[in-house]
Amino acid sequence: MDPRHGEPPDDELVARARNGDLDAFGVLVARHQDLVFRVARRITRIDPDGARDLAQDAFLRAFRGLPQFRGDCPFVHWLLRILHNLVINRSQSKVYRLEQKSHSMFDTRPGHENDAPLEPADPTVVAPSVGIERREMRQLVEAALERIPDDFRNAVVLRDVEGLEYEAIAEILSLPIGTVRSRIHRGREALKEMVERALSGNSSRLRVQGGHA
Amino acid sequence: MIAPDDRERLHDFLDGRLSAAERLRFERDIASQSDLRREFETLSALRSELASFRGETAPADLKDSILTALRASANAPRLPRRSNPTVFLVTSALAAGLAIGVTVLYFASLRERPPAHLAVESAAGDAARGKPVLESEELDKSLGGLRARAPGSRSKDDEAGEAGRKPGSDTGASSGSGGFGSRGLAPTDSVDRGGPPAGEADRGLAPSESEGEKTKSDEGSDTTPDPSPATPGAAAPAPANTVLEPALAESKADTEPGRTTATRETWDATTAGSDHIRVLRVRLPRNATGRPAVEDLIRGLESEAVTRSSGLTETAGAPAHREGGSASVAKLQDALSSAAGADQAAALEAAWRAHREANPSAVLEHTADESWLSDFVRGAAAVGFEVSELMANDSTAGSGAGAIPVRGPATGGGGGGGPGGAQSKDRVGPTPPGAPLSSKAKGPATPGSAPKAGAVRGLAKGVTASDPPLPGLDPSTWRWVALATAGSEQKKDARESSKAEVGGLTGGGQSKPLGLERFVIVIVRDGD
Repeated sequence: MDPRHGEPPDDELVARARNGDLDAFGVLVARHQDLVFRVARRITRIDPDGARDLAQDAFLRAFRGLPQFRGDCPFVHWLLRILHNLVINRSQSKVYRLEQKSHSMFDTRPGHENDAPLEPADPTVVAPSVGIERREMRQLVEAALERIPDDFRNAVVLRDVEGLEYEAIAEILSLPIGTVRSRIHRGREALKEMVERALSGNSSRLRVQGGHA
Repeated sequence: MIAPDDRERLHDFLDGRLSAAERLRFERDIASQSDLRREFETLSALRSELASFRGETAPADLKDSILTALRASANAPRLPRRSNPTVFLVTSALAAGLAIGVTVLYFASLRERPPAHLAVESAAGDAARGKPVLESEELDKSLGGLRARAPGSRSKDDEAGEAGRKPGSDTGASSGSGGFGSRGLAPTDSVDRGGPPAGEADRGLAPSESEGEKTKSDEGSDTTPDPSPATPGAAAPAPANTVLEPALAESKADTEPGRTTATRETWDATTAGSDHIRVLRVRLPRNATGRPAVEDLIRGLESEAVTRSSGLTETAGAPAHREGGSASVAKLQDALSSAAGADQAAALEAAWRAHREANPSAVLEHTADESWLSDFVRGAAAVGFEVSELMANDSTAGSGAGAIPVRGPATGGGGGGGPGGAQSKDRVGPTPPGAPLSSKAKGPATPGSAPKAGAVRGLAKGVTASDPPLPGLDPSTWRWVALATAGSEQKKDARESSKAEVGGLTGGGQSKPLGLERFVIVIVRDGD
C-alpha cells in the first residue's frame, strides 16, 4: 500500500484524480488492484472473473465518488469499504441469491455443507512430497476459508491474508474494534477446527507444514 | 486444555496487540505450557498459509479495462452546464410559474370530484389464494372502488381498459383530499428512491444502487404506468374522465393461502408537507393473532425496509433476508428480545406514552392484546420504522372469528371486537365525552359499509375522529393503520442495535440517515 519508489503518495494522486486526471487514477488502480481483486475474490467466494468485475466496479464507483471523499481515512480503506458495500448489495440481490441457490443445488462436491468435513481437493494425493503436501494444505485452508461464516471470513481475510490492522478493518467493515477482534479470533478458531477435522488424525501435518511461521 | 483467557491472549499475541510486559509474560507461558505452545504453532501455521494467498494478483487487463471504461464515460456527451446566470434565472422562473399553474389547476380539478376511493385489494393476491378475481366494477362496488373519476362518469374507455387488465395486476387509485391533515394523494408511477443519499459516497457507501439488478420494487412494478399527471413534483391536472391508477408494486411473492401478503403502493402527495407517502399494505390472515401475525407483519416491513433503503445494506433485516423465510423472522425476533432491541423499543414506547400524555384530548385507547401491539412497534423499530400513530378500526376488528381483539370503551356502539370491552390500563386520558369518533371514518361512500359509531379509534396526536386514516379508505376493509416514519435517527439507531445482534454483512449501521420517508401501513384482514 505504500507508494512505490518515486511515485507520489495516494493523497496527491487522489487530488489529481478528483480533478479529472485519469492518469493519476490509473496509478492508484495499479497500486491497489491486486489487493482489491484478492479481497473481492476471498470474501465473495466467487470465481476470478466475478472478482475482476467486482473490483472493476469498485474502482469505477470510487472514481465517481472522489468528490465526496473527504480524506479522513486512507484512500485504500475507503476503496475497500466501497468494495465491501458492493459485496453486500450483491449478496442481497435476487439474482445473486438465485445464483447461490442454484449453485448449492448443483454443487455435489463432498463437504459442500458447512458442517460436512473438508476433503483435500485431490484425495488421491497422499503427500508424496512436501511440495504436494503444501499444495494440498493450501487447498484445505482455502476450502475452509470459503466455509466459515461471512462475518468471520471478512475479518480473517483482511487481517491474516492482507495483514491490515484492526483499526483499518474496523473502518472498512464499519464495525467497532472489539467486534473486529472477536470475529478475527473466532474466525481463526473456526478455520483451525475445520482444517484439523479435515486432517482427522493427522493434525500434526498442519503444524509441520507451517511450523516455521 | 487451554483457558479461554489464554486463547484470547494467544490471538492478541499473534496480532502483536499485547504490551511489552504482557508479551514477555505470554512468551514464558508458551514456553512452559505444551498445550499453549501447540496451539500457538497451529495458529501460526494457519496464518502463514493464509498469508500465502497474498501472492495472488489481479488480471493483467484490469487496470486497462477500468481506465477504458472511465474514458468512455468521460467522453460521453453531457448536458450543457449552465453558464449564463440570466438564462438560468429566467428558465427557473418560468419553470416555477408553470409548476404553480399546474398545481392550481390540479387542485381546482380535485374540488369537482367526489370523495375518492382507495384500492384495497390485490387481484394478484386473490388469484393466488384461489379466490375469483373480481372484475373491476365488482371491486369498485364491494371494496369501495379503486379509482377516482369525474362525477358520474364511467367512460367506455374505462371499461375497456379494465376488461383488458390482467387479473394479476393490482389496481387502485386515489385522489381527493382529507385525512392525515387533508393531504390529497394522487398516484404516481414511480418511487423516488433518490439514489444514494448525499453523504454516502464520502463514507464509502455511495455504491448503493446495484446496476443491472432490480430492487424488489422494481421487480414488481410491471403495472401500467399512470398516464395521469401524477409524476412526483409535477402534479398536472387530471382530465375529468381520466382514470387514475396508482403504480402498484407487488412486493411479496408470498401469496400462499393463509399467509400474509404485503402490497406496496406509491402515492404522490400533491400537497406541501409530504413529498411522498408510501403505503405498505399487509394482509393479515383472518385468524391470525399474536406472534405469528406479528412475524408476518415484520416480514412485510422488513422487505419494505430493505427495498426502501437504496443501499440495501442499511437494515437490520438485510442479513436475515439472506437466509429468508421464517428463520429470518426468528432471528429478528431474537434481536428484538436482546437488550439493545429492548432498549430501542422501550425508548419508542416511552416516547409514545409521553406523546399520549401530552395530548390527553387525543383519542387514547389501547389494544387488549398489548403484546401484539408492542411486538409490532418493536418489530417496526427493528427494521427501521418508527411507528408514530396507530389506529384500530373496530368495525372490522369486531367481526369475524379470531379477529384481533380490541378493547377499550366502545364509544358509541362500535365493533369493540374480541374480548374487548375492558378499558386498557394504559389508557392515559379519557375519551372526550361525546367525541364523534366514528363520524370521521367515513371514507368512501360504500353502501352499507359506513362505520358504526365509535368505529375508529386512534392513538396519536392529530388523529381525530375527523381524520380517516387515508382519504377514501373504505372503513370496512382496514383493520389497523399505522403511520410510520423511516429514515430517522431512530431508524439509524434501531439498525445499529439490531445489526449488532443479527450480525451479518450489514455495515450500514453507521450510515447517515437516509432522510425521512413516511409510510402508511395498512393492515387488512385476509378475506376482507
